[in-house]
Amino acid sequence: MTTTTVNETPKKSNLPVWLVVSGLLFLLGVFAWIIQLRQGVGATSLHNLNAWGAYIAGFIFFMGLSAGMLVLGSLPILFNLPRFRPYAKLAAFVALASLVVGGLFILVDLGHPDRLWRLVRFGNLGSPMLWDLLLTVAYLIVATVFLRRLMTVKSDDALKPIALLAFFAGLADGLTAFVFATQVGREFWFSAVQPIAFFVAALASAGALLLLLMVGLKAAGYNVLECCDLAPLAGLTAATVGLGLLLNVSELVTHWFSRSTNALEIVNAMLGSPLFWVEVIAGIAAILLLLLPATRLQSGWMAAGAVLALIYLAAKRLLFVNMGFAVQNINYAGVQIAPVGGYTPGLVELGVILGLIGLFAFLLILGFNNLRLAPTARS
Amino acid sequence: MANKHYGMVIDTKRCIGCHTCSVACKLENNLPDKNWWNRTLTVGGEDMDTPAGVFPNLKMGFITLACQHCENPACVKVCPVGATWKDEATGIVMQDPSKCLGCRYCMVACPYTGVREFNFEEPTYATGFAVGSIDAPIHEKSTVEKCTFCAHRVVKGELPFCVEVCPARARHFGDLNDPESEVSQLVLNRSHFRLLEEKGTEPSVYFLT
Repeated sequence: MTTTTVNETPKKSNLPVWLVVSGLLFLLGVFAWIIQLRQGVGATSLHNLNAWGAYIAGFIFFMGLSAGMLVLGSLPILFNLPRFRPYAKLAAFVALASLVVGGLFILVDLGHPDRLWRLVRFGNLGSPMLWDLLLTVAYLIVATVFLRRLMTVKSDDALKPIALLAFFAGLADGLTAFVFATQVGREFWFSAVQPIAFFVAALASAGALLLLLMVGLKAAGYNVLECCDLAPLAGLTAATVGLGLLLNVSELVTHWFSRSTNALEIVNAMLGSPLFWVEVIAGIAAILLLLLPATRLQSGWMAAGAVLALIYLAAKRLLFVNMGFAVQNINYAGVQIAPVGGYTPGLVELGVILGLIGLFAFLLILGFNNLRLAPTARS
Repeated sequence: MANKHYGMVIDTKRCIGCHTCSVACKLENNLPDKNWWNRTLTVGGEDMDTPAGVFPNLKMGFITLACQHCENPACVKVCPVGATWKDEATGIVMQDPSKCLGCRYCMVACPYTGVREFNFEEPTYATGFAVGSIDAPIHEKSTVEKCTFCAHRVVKGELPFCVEVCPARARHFGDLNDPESEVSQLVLNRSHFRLLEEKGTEPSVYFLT
């Protein structure tokens, strides 16, 4: 409920240290990317039998975050949900920032980013990757217009048309899942559950990050957050994390039940991966912190719950990509075409990823300092 | 003129696992050091050229694995820029490194393990000079490459080099659309299998048993 009058004017020059830190992180990422461009993708830990890795996981995460934010930002306007309404502007802005970062995750994964123009000139409309590109462009336009309208239009009724577009753009996160779910050669991905699982994870990431921002910004001295009842956001985050864990159980049971060699290999690879256990433990801990009476709605615990939910999601995304390569369809002995052992992101990849996360933080702080994103008290 | 559908028929009863086809492919196509477009895989023990089982009950066979030039190719469907495509006149699945974005989606989509390779680094060569055919495919850093059924030879009416050199005469190449061709007759008259038929990719490589 909105009970306190809120000063919309953000304090100037807030978080200057973090602005510098995130800016430096971004520069580190640029440096790492230059190394990768000079040496080739071989500077990462990717190889012929694990052709995608942490960059693609980052892409899924940030595209999902953007979609989740668009849904959370548009729902309260479309369906008149006053308890979620204060976050709409913040959500629309984060959607835009995460979209930029998500797109860059694809750019750094490309062997030939200089040939990106070919997507426009020779784009194959049948490729799920092109569907995703078109979706990204649509997101970018919708999120920009949505944010602009939120900043200037006072009446929610007038906002409804663009909110509807933003809502559908958010729902379309399933298209990202189709990049993977359409692949007949990758048994773990080839499942109709993936678009749903992606959407659930998208909502969870948006809920968790909004919670973290609300608590963190207050701690950082922004006088913008007294108004808000965070209970619905905490509830949504816990529910979507829980649903994501249930979908994991569903995947394990369906694979295990078939007892086919490949399916059992997938189950063993999943249970044997530390990422799986990070995902499960962080997920359950997040739900408990966000819902247990002893900790719920207390700033510190809520922030911890949100961080755990984000760790759960990061592990989920990385595990998802890795599991696509867990089973080799043809696994006879021959000459080596890839290093022995699985895939763990290397130093260059970590540098690039930290850089992109730094850029994300940098964009958010710029927004907090210069745009009127504050949740506003509304009658 | 009717379109051709080139295919390969490999007689696993004749294959002796000598790796000549693999090495010949490497030579003809001037492949970089780490690349193998055609690998000889041992169907047997855990290591190359080792049998399965316990002496004296040992068993060993071979599969040579390269691009299957599928009729329903998973790679062609996903390539965002058409750098890999199916040549309608020959049925050969082609790949052009000069168009490749290096996104590796085709490698992810292809169910046949390791038939596509990405040049993770600047290609290096064992010799200081190019080997093989003068019109061998180019090799570029940060692009994907694979077997082309030696399209540069086929266009001149020659056989793929792996077929030409097989000392056991286990490899056959020809037009599967022509019912009188050697490959069509072999497929018609001999028991055979194709790899991962359950994936629905309709591979154009047949293994005789």
